[in-house]
Amino acid sequence: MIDRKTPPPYGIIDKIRFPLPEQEILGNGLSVHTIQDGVHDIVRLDYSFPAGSRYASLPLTAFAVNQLLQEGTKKYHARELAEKLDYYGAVFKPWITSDTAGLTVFTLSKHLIHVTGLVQSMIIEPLFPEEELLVFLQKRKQQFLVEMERVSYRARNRFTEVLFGENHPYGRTLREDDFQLINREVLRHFWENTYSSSQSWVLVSGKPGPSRLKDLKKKLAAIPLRTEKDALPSFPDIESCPGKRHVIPMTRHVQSALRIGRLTFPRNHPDFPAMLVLNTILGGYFGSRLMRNIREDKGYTYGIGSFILPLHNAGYLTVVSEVGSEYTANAIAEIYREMEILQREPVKDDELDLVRNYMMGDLLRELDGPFSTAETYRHVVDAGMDMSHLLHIMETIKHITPGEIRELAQKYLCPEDMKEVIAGRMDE
Amino acid sequence: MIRFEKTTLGNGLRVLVHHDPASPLAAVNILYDVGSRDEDPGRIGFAHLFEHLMFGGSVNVPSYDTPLQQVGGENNAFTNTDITNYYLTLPSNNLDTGLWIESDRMLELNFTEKNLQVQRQVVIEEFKQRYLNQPYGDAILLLRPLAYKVHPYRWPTIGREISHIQEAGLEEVKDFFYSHYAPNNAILVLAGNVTPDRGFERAAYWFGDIERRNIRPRNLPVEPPQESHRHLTVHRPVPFDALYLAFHMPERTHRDYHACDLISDILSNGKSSRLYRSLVMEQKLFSDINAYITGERDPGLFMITGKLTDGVPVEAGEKAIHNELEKMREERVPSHELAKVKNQVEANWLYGETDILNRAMNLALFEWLGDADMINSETEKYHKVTAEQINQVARNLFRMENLSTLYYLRQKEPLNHETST
Repeated sequence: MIDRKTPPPYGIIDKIRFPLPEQEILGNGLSVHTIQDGVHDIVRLDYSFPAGSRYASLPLTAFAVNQLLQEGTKKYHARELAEKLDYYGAVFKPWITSDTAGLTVFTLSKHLIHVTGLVQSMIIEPLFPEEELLVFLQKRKQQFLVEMERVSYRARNRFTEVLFGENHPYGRTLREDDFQLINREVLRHFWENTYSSSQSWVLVSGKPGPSRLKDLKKKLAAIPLRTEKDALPSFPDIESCPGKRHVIPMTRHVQSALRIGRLTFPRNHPDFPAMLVLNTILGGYFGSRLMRNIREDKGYTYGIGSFILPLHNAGYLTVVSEVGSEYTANAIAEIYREMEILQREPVKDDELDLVRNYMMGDLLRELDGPFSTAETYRHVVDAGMDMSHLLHIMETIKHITPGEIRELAQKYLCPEDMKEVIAGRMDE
Repeated sequence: MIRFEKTTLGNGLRVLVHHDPASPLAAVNILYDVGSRDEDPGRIGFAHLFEHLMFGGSVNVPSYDTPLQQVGGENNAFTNTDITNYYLTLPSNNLDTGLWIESDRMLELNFTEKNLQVQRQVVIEEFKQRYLNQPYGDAILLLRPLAYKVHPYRWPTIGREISHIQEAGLEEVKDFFYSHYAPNNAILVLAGNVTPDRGFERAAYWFGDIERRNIRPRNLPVEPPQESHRHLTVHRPVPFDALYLAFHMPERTHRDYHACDLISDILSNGKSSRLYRSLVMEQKLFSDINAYITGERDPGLFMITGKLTDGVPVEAGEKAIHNELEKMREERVPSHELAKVKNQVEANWLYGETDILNRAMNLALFEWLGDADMINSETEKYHKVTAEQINQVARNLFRMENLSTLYYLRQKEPLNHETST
């Protein structure tokens, strides 16, 4: 008979080995980072530009530019671009955040140079054709109106408005009227200002092979970038909306979406690594306090969690859930209760040990293979940092004490500092 | 090429090991050959509810998640119409912890009445979050019973009505466990930094003494061929009309399966695909359109779903889709286009291979389909599909008497964004 009662012995993750990216500045000033690793002949390319929504007067402008790069260039019609990318089996994903916008491409190494040629044309000579723009706006507007019927979407948007202010670059959200304000000139103007910024950079990961990597760099060096530093617009003051609770009534819905949180800070803030640990304990994994209480004990929800979103000039922490309408008030009370417990009682050693091990395991997963590493690395570099940031996080995970966690909770988890957004019904 | 070794333990558990020394992780995937098709019509949603209960503690391990998190692991599971699949990844030196908790819950569960009560509620909230509280969320719940009349694919895995889940009792849940969860009804795959020798030895250690069980024989009714077009119209508080088409298609192991999949790619994979190009970009009839296959073990569905552009009558969109389907039936696919969708399949297959968990899951799936070796000939099967076969298969699929159509129309009542301030 084997002993099934006693947990098998296990090892602690002490060090994580990950490939260190190589960095090179090309003749045009473009910074190229490479992570050469992996067994398959495939490559991931991440192009990154300071073209996030905060730099446009309407969030839709930045989004539209990012999406429409693939809809026609001087060299290629939209149909041709789509045909060729699909023919090569490339996966092409434009993406955008408040700060940054970019393009991520997966391709077979053998097609790398062809695919890069197409992407290059999108970046340096997009046309934003009238017809494609109209179809885009129609589609996007319909998607927006469907999204407006989702409690989660409404709560998410209202929450950033409440935290930063409705007209702040980090707070402003899409509105129906915005669709009438977009035209080719607006797009073109935004593209000119952002997609040739000297702050642009490219991350190459996977297995391009030495000669293709050389050809790729030659190509990337031909992207005309401005040499002068961007004159970044000043960062306006944050003016949170007054009032604590913001309710969006959606009475037909059987669940309410909740966001409860507060402003925090960028990734380079000294408290950032420790906040990752505090957040994990509160709502950052399946065994978190919020999950165990609100899902696994009370059954109010299918899922609840919390996360920290670092931005270039700010950041926020938020609890997120969709709960049965009849449980809305109880769920909110329990969320605050969990924050108060973290402020009052030091985390017990066995829970903290578990969280340390879980977080180290999570980093191990995030740094497994060139593409996961690229994903992690992109966020780090985007915040103006390097991989030593990850080492710093690991050290914090290993050495933070229950006392430090409680202090952090006292500083950042005061229920009275939280803003609440509820989209749905508040049944009593 | 995914190399693996395979053995079968004395109790019938199939064990596959795929060694990848480059990863510091190990993935453990256990597939149980039970899905919502194995449920009683009076107990719909049981297989999935059961998946939740599998995390409620087993005979020697009071909590499933805690010991795994303790060693740096992460896990999840899913249930579909055919299978229930549990998976985890952890640092490979802690493989034993994963095998310990997985083998113990195969041995015997030990959840409480309170556990059952909470998970019933969690599943009901999941039902709401994913289906009832989403615009268009109930479309698939409506389509299945339209397309299937006798086969259990007629009900959705999440459940049909909340009452079945609310009424689930401890005894019948236990009965479900012993009729479906057993070494002889499961496939275990270990992938990552685990050699076959070590993997087989540890799997035998942890799973070897679990006894074989009597699995309830599967006797599913065969869906008779559909004889005439079926149609359903519903009105819902959504901003735009939507259209859903469901054609019956062959089962996963049928020789025409790969052709069906390629047809769905020709129609809607990527921005160069036919439905997107023609109906969204050129004719501007739809704001969004998609074709996909359910890919189930028993004969599944070939689905086409689209949201109409504001103001376009649903019949106009429907007619345009049928025009495209007629081309699929009657016109030969240009060789360049066929090569394109095959390239897409091959590339996507390779991108997927970078992830050890994905490899582990695929090995389990192919073994469940009959033989894990098929994993290495899968892309070849796509390559062998000819233009003639595409026409032939399309002619078989896209017949009116093989079709169920759902009009999901906007109900004339104010929407949220029109009423709230």
